[in-house]
Amino acid sequence: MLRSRIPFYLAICTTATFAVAPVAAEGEGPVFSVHVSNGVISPSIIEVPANTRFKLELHNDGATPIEFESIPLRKEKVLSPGASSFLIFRSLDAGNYAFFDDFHLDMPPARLIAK
Amino acid sequence: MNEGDYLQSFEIATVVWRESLEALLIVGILLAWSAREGPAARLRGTRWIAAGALVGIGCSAGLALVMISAADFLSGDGEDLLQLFLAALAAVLMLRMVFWMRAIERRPSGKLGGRAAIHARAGNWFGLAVLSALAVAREGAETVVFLYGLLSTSTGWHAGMVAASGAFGFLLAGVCFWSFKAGASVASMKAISRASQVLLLILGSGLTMIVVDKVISLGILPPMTSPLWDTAWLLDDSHGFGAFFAGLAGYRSRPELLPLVGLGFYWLVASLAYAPPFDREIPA
Repeated sequence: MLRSRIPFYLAICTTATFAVAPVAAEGEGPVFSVHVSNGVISPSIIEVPANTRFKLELHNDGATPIEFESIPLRKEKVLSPGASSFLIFRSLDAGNYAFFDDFHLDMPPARLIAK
Repeated sequence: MNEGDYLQSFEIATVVWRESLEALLIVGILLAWSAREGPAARLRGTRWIAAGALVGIGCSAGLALVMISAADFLSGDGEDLLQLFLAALAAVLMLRMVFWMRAIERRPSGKLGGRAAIHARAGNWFGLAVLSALAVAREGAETVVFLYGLLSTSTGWHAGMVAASGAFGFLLAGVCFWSFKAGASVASMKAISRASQVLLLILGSGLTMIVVDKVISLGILPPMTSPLWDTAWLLDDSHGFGAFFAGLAGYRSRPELLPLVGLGFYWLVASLAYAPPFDREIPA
């Protein structure tokens, strides 16, 4: 009875994997870096090109974990102390996007400005 | 302890509470829902849900380990793909759960009969376990990285303070969970069913927006238009309560066309659960 349902979930998994697989193969663009230390984000204003693919490197220099979060940028990323990672942005409309450290909500947000 | 320590302690508890709330809410709904069955079925349901939650804890620990050690695997598109998949599966299961609740509400005698019903019920118990596992795994990994990250850099009594604050955050979430369950035990079955459906639909709406965000972020589909309106003056989704609410319920202050189409599609499917029944019995 139960077994008959398992293929259903497996089918969903497989379909999802194949449906999104091709998007990985694309060229790299310019690279920008953000350093976060215990909630302090530097630089606090980052200028990036609009409608262009770019890479945003994240470095956690502090002694506490951080979470890069932004609903307008559609991104979230958790980093343990000393860890680094990156985010890929494919096409950002010109505009002013706020992002913040969700683990240090008392600190002011930083901004990504796409021009 | 000085003022700064108290502040940090409060922050740690708040983060842990916030991260575990959604998972506990979902597990609470599932438990309250399964409590409406007879004692045998209730025990069975509770076991499935608990097993799912345990698998979820295991998954979140594993995921946290990957995040901490080999961050490259989840860098760039990796995490977006994973989140897309987990959120989509959870949203589909939540809709299924709402359809199941509606089918039981509509059944005249309060009993499902025949082999088909038993079959459907077994599948739904498994669905309950998967939903419970997903709820815990999605948010749990972040909580593990958060607490582990803090503990790994603290020493002596400071580490103790971090651990105590984290435990306090879990306790707060536990109190919310307990009051939800206590409220459910005095409420009528109909009220629980209605409240659960509303909560599941709202959380499912939040998950649908995560799916749409990841689809756009990964370049699978374009957002179709520039933002159609701006309600940031009313509630700004870029920080504070607006961002929290946006994450939970799928609110966006500057939506493009694709997010609206995605959300519209979600609510259209959800509304089918409330459409007048067809002649044939609706499959549970």
